[in-house]
Amino acid sequence: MNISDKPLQNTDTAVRQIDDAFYVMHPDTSELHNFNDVGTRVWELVDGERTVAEIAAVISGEYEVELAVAETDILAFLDELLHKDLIRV
Amino acid sequence: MKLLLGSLVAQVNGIEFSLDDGMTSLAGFVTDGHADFVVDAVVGGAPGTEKPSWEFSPGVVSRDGRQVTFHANGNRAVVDLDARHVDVSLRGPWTVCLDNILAPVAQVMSLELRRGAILHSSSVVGEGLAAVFLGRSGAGKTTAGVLARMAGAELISEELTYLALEPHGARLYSLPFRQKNRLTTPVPGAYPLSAFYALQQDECDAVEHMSRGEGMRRLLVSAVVGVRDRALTVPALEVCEALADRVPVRRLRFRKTPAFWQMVKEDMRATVMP
Repeated sequence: MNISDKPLQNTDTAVRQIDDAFYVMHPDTSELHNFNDVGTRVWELVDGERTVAEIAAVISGEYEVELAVAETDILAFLDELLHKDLIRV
Repeated sequence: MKLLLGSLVAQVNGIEFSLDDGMTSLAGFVTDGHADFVVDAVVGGAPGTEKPSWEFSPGVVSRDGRQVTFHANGNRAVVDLDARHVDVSLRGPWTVCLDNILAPVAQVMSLELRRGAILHSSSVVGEGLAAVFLGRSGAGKTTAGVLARMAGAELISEELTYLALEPHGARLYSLPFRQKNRLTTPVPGAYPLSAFYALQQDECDAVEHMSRGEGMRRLLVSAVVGVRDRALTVPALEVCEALADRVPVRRLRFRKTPAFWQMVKEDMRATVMP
């Protein structure tokens, strides 16, 4: 994954919002992944239209985080989601 | 023959009472109700085929659209989810073969029809209060069930439990299968469920609350132990969310003594009090 990629959600996943927690389930492993509020917001932005850099810019603005920190953290987060096949590039 | 599989009714054709023990264990589950799905069974078994034991270990062979093929301990099923029809091939002329394949078939259909779920769990009933014990292999599901029975509860299931969704709760049903250690004799029954308990063996007995989200997660782990397929992802999540909405899911720390059952009963009484 690099900063110019445009990730998108694996459309075979199933999602649920329960109370303050957001869950994504992988169809083959049936593993349930729980995201915090920032992770949930990143998931919403992973639409195949935005680059990783653009997603980081949104998060940086909404959560008042330095852009460089947001890019690093989001790249790591998306790499993990890619590894778990929850997103595609 | 129409068989009760939890709250589902299966029209089972092709075998009647022709298997080894006359299928006496299933006799109490024969019903007149409207069939939810149809099972057409054929009995295989080359000469010398060995009679298998009970085992809940289905594996998906293939999926073609909305048709899922899986095997279970040498028995095979092809499930057409849209037609609600199942073709079954039994490994041999034994009731245990029918048990081995009908259990995962019931698991698939209960999720597909959004009627409920078969959970990898044990269950007990005592003083009108029904509890389901959840946990991975080795967590103590059978132990908890046996200990509760020693303290006066009735053991309903030791490995697989059918939970039916109801508008404001869930109901626990006995299944017609002789399960792993044959600790129970299948007898038809249905009981309003008081609570789920996710097990953790510990040095003390304690009941702890879990959030609905964590409760759903625990239920999902227990609901997908059998047939895992993409076609069941959304149904499994929906059913487990609905169960967690309707029935409390608790964490139960327990020592290996029957004393924990008194604490569980008190907790269940508190959940059903208005």
